[in-house]
Amino acid sequence: MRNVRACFASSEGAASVPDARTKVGAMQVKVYITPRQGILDPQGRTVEHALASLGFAGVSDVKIGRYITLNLDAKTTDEARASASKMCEQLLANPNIEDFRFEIEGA
Amino acid sequence: MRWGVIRFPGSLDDLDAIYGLRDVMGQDVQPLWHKDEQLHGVECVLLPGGFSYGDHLRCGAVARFSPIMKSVGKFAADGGLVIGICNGFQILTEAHLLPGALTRNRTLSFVCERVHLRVENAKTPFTCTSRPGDILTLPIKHGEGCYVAPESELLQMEERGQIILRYVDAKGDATDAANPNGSMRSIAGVCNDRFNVFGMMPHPEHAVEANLFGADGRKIFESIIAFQSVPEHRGQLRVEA
Repeated sequence: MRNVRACFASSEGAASVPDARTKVGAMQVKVYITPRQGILDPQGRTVEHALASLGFAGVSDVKIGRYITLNLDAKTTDEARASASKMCEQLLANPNIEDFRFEIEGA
Repeated sequence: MRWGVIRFPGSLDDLDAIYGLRDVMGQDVQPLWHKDEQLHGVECVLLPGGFSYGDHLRCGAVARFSPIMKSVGKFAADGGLVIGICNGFQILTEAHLLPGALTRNRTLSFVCERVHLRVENAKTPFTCTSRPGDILTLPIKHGEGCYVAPESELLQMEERGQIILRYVDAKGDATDAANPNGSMRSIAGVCNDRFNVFGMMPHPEHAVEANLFGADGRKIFESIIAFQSVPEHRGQLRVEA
């Protein structure tokens, strides 16, 4: 499920002086957290009912989660991936009730 | 008996807990600041209700990393008594000191009412002055009190007697209508598998005086005091389900 995209955009040419604002090796991590399958999601259910009452037919299994972005200094995408995985397990998601996946993009 | 009441940024019910224990029940209470790593020789640690760290990310998820929680984890590992009420319960689940998790109420509404609770296991330090099946009436006030855990874990908890309190109606039946937040199996309070860490969503500290909406909350605190007054129990856990 983990979609890792590493696109180091460097169209400026190798000799360009690094800009202090864009750290070398900074990557953006996008974390998607959703209620775990089988765990009641009352927000999702309420929105599902609201969509039905608005006339949107055929809507089912609405899940409402959380989207987190963060910048991370890392040498490689593997390092970033390992670090992001630990962050999710230890703090960003509660593995008891939530599933998570993340994407990593070069800054 | 010496109690420690932790104050996190955003704790609300620490003062009621201190009032109930110290002023009403004559206990020795040590307030504990969350950045303090010392527990100052307390015999029971109480994590109060409130909105620690503004409930950011998830309720209790950030408070779990407060410096004092390392000491609480060690204290619990050594058999020390820990009780978490409401947000304190949420913090204990996030800290993995208690199983399961607390999620949004199924109605999505904050609930603030008095509920009936049935004592399911009276052989714990937190319920030993009650009998199984006794009904306690206590206030609840929370938005995230829906207890969830994997079905396999719930089965194990039932077998071991870790489900301590259930939401019931006035007759003592755990009906769906009497379940205020959608908790699985109407669970209102649970223990760890060693029975020295306890979490409950209802508020015993708000019910310690008969003329102020009942005194059933005292039964929880009196149990802890009775348990701790037995010399063999001090510092070491002996009660089993």
